[in-house]
Amino acid sequence: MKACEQTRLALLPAGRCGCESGVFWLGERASTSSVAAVVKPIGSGVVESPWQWSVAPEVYAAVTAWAKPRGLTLLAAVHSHLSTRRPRMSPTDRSQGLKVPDALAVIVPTGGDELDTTRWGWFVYESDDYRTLEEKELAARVRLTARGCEYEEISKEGSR
Amino acid sequence: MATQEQQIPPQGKHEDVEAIVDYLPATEDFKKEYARTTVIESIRTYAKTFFRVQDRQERDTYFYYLVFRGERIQDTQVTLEQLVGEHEPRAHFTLVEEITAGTAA
Repeated sequence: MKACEQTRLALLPAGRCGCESGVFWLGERASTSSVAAVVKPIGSGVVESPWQWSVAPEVYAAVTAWAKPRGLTLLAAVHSHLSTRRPRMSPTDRSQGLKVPDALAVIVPTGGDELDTTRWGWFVYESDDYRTLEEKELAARVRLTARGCEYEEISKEGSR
Repeated sequence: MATQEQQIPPQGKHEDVEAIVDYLPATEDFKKEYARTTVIESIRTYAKTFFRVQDRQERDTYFYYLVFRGERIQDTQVTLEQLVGEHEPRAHFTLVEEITAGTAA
């Protein structure tokens, strides 16, 4: 299954309950990176609420412990907004998002129930801030069409 | 009967420890040899520099801590030897970002 489909399926259950949710896209960082795994943080330390998705450091650590031996790096943090409007980064998204050069922040509107990825919000962290990623740039940076993308649910105790 | 004493070779004590620190968004690990007397805070500091991150306070507070064998290192003034013992040749850490949301003024 493709990364975007995996992502939507992972976000939808919370979205249907009126809550934001999120996943991490992992892969090998290259000039054009492929998403090799979609990881959904779960359990204690993960907050899925109507206005916030957050992941505790202990869960990040567990994701790292799973990812690094596989040679995977965090490419993007993807989370949902409940609004149907074109996503914008909220002050909290900017403040608490991944602040690593070239890291992507992706926002899926409608609680994950949006098939058209051109209606998703695509942002890249550069020069100490996020900026919108244009469609042409996106294709050059991330290959989203690769099949066989792995899906994993990870809690602070490890993968399921 | 004479006792034959066997010479047991001393367990090789590695003087230095290779510290390896990984960080989820980074493509490369931080690796450096340290004396066993090195305090963990020193490794944390070098690792943050390597990964180009820093503890800071903006609207929220950002702090980077090290995880060793699945546990957060609370006291970064302990030495590598206190953490891994006398013989372990390497120590593998994970650097993790902790964000504490600021309170609205």
